[in-house]
Amino acid sequence: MKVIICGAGQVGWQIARHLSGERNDVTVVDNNPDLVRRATDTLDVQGIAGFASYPDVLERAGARDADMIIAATHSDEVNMVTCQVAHSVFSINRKIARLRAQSYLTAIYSDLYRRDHLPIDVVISPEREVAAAAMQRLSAPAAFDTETFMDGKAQLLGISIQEDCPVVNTPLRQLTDLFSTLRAIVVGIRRDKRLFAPEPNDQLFVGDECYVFAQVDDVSRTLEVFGKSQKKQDRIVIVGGGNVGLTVARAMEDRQGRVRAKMIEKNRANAERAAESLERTIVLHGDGMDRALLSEAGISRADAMLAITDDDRTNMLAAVRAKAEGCPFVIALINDPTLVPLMGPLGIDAYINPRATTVSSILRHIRHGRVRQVYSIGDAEAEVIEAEVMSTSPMAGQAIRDIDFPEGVLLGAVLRDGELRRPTGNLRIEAGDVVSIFAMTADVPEVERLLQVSIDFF
Amino acid sequence: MELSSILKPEAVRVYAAVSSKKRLFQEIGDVAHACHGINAPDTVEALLERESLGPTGVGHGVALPHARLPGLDSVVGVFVLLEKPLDFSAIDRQSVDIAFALLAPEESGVEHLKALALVSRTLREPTLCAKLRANHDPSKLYALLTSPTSVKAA
Repeated sequence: MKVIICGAGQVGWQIARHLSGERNDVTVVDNNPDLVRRATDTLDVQGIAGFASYPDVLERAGARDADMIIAATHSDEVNMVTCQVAHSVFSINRKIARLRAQSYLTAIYSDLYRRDHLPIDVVISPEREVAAAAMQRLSAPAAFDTETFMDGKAQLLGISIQEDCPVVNTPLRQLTDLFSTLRAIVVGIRRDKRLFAPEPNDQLFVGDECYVFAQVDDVSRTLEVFGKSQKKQDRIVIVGGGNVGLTVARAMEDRQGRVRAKMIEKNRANAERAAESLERTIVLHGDGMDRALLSEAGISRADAMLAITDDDRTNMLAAVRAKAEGCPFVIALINDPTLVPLMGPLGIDAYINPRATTVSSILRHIRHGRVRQVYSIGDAEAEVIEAEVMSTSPMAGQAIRDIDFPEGVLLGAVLRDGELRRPTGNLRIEAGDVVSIFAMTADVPEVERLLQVSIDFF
Repeated sequence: MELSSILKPEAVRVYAAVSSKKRLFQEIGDVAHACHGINAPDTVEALLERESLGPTGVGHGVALPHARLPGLDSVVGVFVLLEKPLDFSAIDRQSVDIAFALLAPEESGVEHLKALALVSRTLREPTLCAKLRANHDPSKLYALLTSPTSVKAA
């Protein structure tokens, strides 16, 4: 697929890296020649220096042949105009724009992005996605990674196996017998930094990180079985009161139950803005790394701490400080994937990577078949693909045990008529079913083939 | 059903080269508009949409892109021969130089499947494909495609 990415900043570069890594024909456009050079030097992409919304620049970038454009420059307005030009002049079918301003994102104005108005198929908002990811992390604090699937009926949980896990050294096949009513499946295991899809005879060992696909009602039980106790997160300290912090605090206030959040923000104007727009959250002005201020925010009694300023290093250090001051669960926003391995040594419990969510929402539009969702795991090591099974596809009408899944692929669940089914070997997949599939990156093309319709699908 | 009933002589085209699948579909959309008055952008979009569900390259350099469109009253075809083959992500990864597009009404019973079967049967014939590739004159191509021998050979 030919893809043009406008904006070679953090978001654009990350998307370019992912898409070029899977042999898409990628061209990066940015008005800063240094950023373009950084992209073309480090990635297998072409680069054009120029203003992204100018038709002549897009023409040079190959817009006439492009199947998709991703407008991720720093300016909302440039991104919007880029999509309009891509549509009206170059008939690019799929248009994705990054928009940050809250007003543009308000649902009642979303009619604006219809094809006959200002055509944008997908709006990505890193702030909104980070806020959603933060809320998900807080809802399952014992998991290091979570994502919702199947219209909210299933959840993918990343669980690290520790000594107190009751099911270590047990073949997975036996787990199915032991917990016959537990609707959860281990779909991936990372051992010694290598991720793989387990076989029924594989066992879990201490130190493994495993990915479990669980029905949403069984999430707490699943976590218990894997030795994680689920505790409610009521007292939260948020460090960083920018757009992201504010969105998270608002979401927290909207949540049911008694949530008591405190926010620390360094910039006086931002702190005042946050204090004004939030009702129940107490906003403190000062440095999130300051011990005295953290203790004033009640860090030692807090259930969790979220470090979500726009600086990765500040987030990591503030998280470490909060941990040292007695906060049991600290989460840091980390944009730069190369910093993620430092989490373990620093004792940070979980992280949020906004790029991962952004990349995932774009991949959905790249995969063949009627794909509803794609979630990229780790550093593009594997994917969970949720897709509708189409008639004439190789999967339709087959019993699961007869489907020719590659070794690195596992079926997580099947959704039929709004009801989640366990993927047992003799369940027959029908057209119209929705399936969630865990696939190692190398096996994704084969999964795509299984989801593709055949030639006689009209 | 015979190919002459779905293919008009004007709907047979030869292009030196197109640079992408998208451009090929745009050409097909333009031809469909010229011959049958169908809205070209809608055609392109429907073909791309169908293509995203699964590529229509059937192998041996042949592609059969197809889609359903409102406003048609019978199945119509557009034949395109490319002098320079195009990367089409076909099942055998071979690039494509023969494309037979089929456009069907939204409610068409089994007519569209019959048409697809007929076209696919016709273009599965290696001798016919070799003849088509050796000819760059649209009227000859039309004659080859609709000649009774080719149908019989199939």
